[in-house]
Amino acid sequence: MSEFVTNGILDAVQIVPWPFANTAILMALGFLVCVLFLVVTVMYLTLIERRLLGFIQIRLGPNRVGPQGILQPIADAVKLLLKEDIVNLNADRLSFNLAPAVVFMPTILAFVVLPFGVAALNQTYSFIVIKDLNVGILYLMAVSSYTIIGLLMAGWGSNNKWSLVGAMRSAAQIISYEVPMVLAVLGVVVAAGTMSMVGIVNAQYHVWFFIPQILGFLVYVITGISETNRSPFDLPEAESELVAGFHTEYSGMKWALFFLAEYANLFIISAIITTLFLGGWHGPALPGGLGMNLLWLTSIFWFLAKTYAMVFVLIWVRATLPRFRVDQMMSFAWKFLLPVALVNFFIVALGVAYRHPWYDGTIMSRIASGGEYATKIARPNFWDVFVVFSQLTPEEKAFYIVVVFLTAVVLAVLIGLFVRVKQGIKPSRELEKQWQL
Amino acid sequence: MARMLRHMRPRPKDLFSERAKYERDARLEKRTDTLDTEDLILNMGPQHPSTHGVLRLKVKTDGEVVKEVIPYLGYLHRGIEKNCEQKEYLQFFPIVDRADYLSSMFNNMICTQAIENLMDVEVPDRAQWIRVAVMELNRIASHLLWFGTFLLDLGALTPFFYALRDREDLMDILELASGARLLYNYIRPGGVRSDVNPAFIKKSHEFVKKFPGYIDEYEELVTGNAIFVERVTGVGVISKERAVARALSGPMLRGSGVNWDLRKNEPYGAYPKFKFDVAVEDGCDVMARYKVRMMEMRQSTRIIKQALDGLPEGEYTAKVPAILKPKAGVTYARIESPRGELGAYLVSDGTKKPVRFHLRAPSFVNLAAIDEMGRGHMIADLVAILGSVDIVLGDVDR
Repeated sequence: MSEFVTNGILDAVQIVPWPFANTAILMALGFLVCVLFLVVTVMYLTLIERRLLGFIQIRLGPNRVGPQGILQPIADAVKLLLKEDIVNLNADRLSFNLAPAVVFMPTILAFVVLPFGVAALNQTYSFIVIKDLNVGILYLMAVSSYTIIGLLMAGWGSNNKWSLVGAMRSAAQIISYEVPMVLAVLGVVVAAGTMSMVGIVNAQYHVWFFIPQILGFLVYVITGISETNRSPFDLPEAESELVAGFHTEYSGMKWALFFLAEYANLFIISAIITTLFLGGWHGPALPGGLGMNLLWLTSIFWFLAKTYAMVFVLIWVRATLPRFRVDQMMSFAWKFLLPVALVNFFIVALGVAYRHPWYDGTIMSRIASGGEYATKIARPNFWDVFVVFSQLTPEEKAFYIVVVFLTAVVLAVLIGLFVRVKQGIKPSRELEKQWQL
Repeated sequence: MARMLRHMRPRPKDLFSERAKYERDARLEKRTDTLDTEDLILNMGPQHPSTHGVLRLKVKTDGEVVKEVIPYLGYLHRGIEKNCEQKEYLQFFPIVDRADYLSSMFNNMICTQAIENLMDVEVPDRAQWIRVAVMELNRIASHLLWFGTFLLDLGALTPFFYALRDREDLMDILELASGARLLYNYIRPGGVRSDVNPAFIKKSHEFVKKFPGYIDEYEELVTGNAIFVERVTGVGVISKERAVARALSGPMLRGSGVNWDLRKNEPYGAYPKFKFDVAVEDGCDVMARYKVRMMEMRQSTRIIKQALDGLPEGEYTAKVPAILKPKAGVTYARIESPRGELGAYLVSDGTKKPVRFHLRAPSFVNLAAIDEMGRGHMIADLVAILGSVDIVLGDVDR
């Protein structure tokens, strides 16, 4: 945000005559906008989730408190603020009280590198991020690991066997699922040639990364759901015999922090999936549709649209699937996701080695040298890869053909399965004929 | 080190105190250091979110693996049997309704069977067919609730709502017959309390037409789901011989490969006139019992259709006196309830109040097997096993 502001507005806008005060005030305003965005997003995510879950479960969610339940999150917030804050008699006070903060912190920190869009000001492109670190992805992986410490603190500090069991399970789960997650991300980083989030989005102007790296995409989505402790991986929290796992003993605002951390994590995982695999803020009508002046609007719109589509998918998954058991979850991570992520990385490595345009690792250096990107951003050309085919060497052509063939096979299998399922596994029809009802 | 110092350690002189038994166990397990590794005793307390009721399970676990399960009962004991022994026979029925509150028609039926065994009363055909129809409707309702809560325990939030939606239709139908949604008080000695009306028949026909489609929907979403299958196969295994030795009944028994259904093996009422199959699976695990109950729902639909199509004309009840005085004698009647073999033991001495009335509750007997089924599994599996036993605490505690 501050980059946007300092590149564009700062030169033009002078609120007060003192030089540093401008920067300070605008940065403070930017910070406020970010925090407000975060808080409002998370609050309304809870409402969206409850209503969506309700619709999938053939009931209405909360719709009484305001028109369509709009004021429900505010009612929840007020209630939770006014609740009594119960601390167990024998609880470890330091762990118990600090755990919610330690769990919520990575969530806020992760917002720093999410690229919301791009704006065109004064003949330069400014990216709408708080700070575009050039190790953005590494920062995200590192910061999200703090959650484990918070969970263990919560489980231990509660002085409750069930909470401890829940926290242990959760720590094991998060640690196991980080490995395939990092490998899936590694594929993206190698394909893009850079760890900066903005760079990764820029690198997807030809083709969004979920197409060449479909396996990595699936692995990342699954591990993302697991990292946020959402169903079907919500063993540590909502299991019927663990009451509520590591946050059983929390009440009032501390519990609200855990709850908000979960929903903010949902948003962040969806945003990261969008950035890494779904093309970030690229979109069909961008930006030629509304002109360069409104580039910031269309790019933010596409980013949020894709993020919320991903959120919808994650909520849908929660409503549909039952829960994993601990050991099944572990074996799924180590014995299935890890090899799949490695296979994905192998494919990416081959693509980069043979300079396939889908896996071009040199894209950032080409952008830095100007020229191509400056013209391409205006009209992202999806069909470029076919134009370039005739100029490839025979090995590159062969690789490309193999990739297309495999994709066609995978699609055929999926479509065939879908058609077979739709045709109907309807045992009642056969049974009725048998029984001659 | 412990070996060197053991002469100085205080050792129990007796043979049977807890400490002596513990040390003997340690030696039997060949542990050279009797390091005090205790089992973690977890209490799945009387209030827990698995919606089975007030059941307390004391679970001794070694980390995650269960070593022993001890159920503590009695939280819902209401003294039904004692209460009934002090009342006239017709006053039983509202009380006994509340034993297994999800299959209340069966509670009524068992009392009726017991009393009719000691009286000579000719129940008209129409009444017998109506009894079969409402009992099978109740069986479907009970199995639907089982389906919803079983999957809720496993973590799937959605099928619960779908199951309850269908159960609402059933409760409307049964309300048209008996006047109540859950505790019907409908089947009486002699017949049924009131005749069925055309609205009941029409609604039941509609239900029977669309219900198999619903079961298909549930099976499509659940039975093939890889997570569900992994959670449920190989869990809670009890072999055929052990199932018979433990006197299990109902889907627990049929899920272990024993072809025993009281509706076919010891028919009562109008059941001999109906064509239906008994669902038997050989898996012996939770998945087999799940499949048995899903197939039972389909078979019940078949029975209801036959009952509605062929409902004979006639009286809905025989003439019975208001104060029943069965012959002096002892009888044990049993029927197939959704949970298993529901039995009533009745001792009468010819007066208007019984001498002894005992309900043989299927859930009580089936619950005793969770120790055997649960050992060696994990805590998460214990929840699945408990769900597959399909207990109702009202039945367990009476």
